[in-house]
Amino acid sequence: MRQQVSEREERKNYNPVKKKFLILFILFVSVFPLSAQQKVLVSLKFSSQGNTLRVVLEAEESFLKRTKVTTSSTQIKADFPEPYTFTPPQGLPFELLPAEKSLILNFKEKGETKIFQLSSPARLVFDIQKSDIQKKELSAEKQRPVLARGLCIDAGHGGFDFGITYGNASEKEIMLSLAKDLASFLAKQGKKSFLTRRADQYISISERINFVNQKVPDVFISLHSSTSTGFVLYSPRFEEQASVEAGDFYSLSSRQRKYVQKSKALAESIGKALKDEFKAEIIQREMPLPILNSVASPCMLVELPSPKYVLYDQQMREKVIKAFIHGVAAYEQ
Amino acid sequence: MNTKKTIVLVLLGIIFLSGVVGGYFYFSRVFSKEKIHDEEPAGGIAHIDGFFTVRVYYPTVNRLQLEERRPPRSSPNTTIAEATIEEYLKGPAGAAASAIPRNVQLLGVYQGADGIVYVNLSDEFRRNFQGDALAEYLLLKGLYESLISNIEDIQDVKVLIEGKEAETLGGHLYLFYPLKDMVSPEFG
Repeated sequence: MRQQVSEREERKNYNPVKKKFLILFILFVSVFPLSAQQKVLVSLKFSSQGNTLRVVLEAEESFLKRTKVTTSSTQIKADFPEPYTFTPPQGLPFELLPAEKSLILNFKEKGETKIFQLSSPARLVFDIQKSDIQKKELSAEKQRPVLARGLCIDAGHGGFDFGITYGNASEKEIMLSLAKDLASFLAKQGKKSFLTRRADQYISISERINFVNQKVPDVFISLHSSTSTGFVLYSPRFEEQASVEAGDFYSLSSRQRKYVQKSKALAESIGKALKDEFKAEIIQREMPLPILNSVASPCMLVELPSPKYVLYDQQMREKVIKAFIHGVAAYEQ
Repeated sequence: MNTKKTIVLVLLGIIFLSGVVGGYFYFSRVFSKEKIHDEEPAGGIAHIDGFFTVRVYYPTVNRLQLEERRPPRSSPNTTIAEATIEEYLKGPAGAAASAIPRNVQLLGVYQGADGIVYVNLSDEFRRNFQGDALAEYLLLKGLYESLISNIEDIQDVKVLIEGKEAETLGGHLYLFYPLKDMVSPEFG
């Protein structure tokens, strides 16, 4: 009687759904690591010699045979037949984008890719050679004469806008004579130059910007004076999130965006040349100045020491011009 | 029964009358507030004691310097925006030389429906400015920061000279456009 009761209770406790779940769980737990173990190990090696970069992918032979490779001048994409495991090495000279069943290699420079499939050990070898087109482009750039399109010089202020004044000396006059001297020097060297103003007249900022964008010079330099004893060099600056209200302003100013890095390089070159010439402190700043942000050329605004501290006689002007010429030449090279 | 009915009717009458009276006072207050708000230029009305507490950012050699000022209300209609700009134009306390142009008059402050505060200054603001790009940047940034730190719901600040748009203050930065995008980034 007791045995019958316990059997009934066992039947009551027996649940077929529970049992199924238990079996599925055991299967999942046992199969999951097995499936993980099945991932193929891919290893990547690289080396470079001269203009050639060699990238090697090593894996099982059957895996590599089923791998599809597509290339472009700056990219190699390997589509693997199944998921793989991969540990990227350190210090890669290219960008690596691994996905579940693919691997993308992005190169900074254009190149021609040759692919070899080798065995013992099984591997795919990519030889990437810098393309002749790029070499030609680089050599053409080097052969291009310095300041082929000219230098645009902006003498700050003018007319009723005196700028900084000290006694009889005013920023507008000092910068105009410096701009004219620089233009004369360049003319003697057979180089083109453009002045935003040639006389003591007021020219608005937007008129100056339009003038520069019409001329499309190699380099644009705006000349101003600081209130201090040192040189201050300004490069353009952009904020990613500009408000909509100033949309017109920013649509105009976006012209400088693709030249920002060149403009910074220009400011660094001229800063170094001024430091070599004057052994003085050079302050480098980035600021969203409209005259810089709105021009479509490599540009900078330089503030020379205040007329309160420096006499801008011919000797001083020659020293400044010499530094500018050296700075621009270093930048162009 | 009749007595009970009478009491209930009286109570209902009292509740109704108090509702009418309360409603009258409530709505008369709301409407009077709206009327004041419509006529109000930028900034609120002065504190009851006749003094403002304003934070002002003054340009110094290469940065802004915060000072807290407590100016008296010059007239019953003086706003916080006006008091802030007046204090700003006075320059920092105890400074021998100020980067703020001399003899500048505040001609008016208005807030547009777009949330932009228009600051109308006399021509001395442009004419008496003597400075380089950094001085001009800090002068405008100081004005902008002072206004946004004292008045709520400001979207931007625009400077007018003698009631008109001017292209530039000192030949380096635009005044044609509201200041926020120009002065918000910290210079590097």
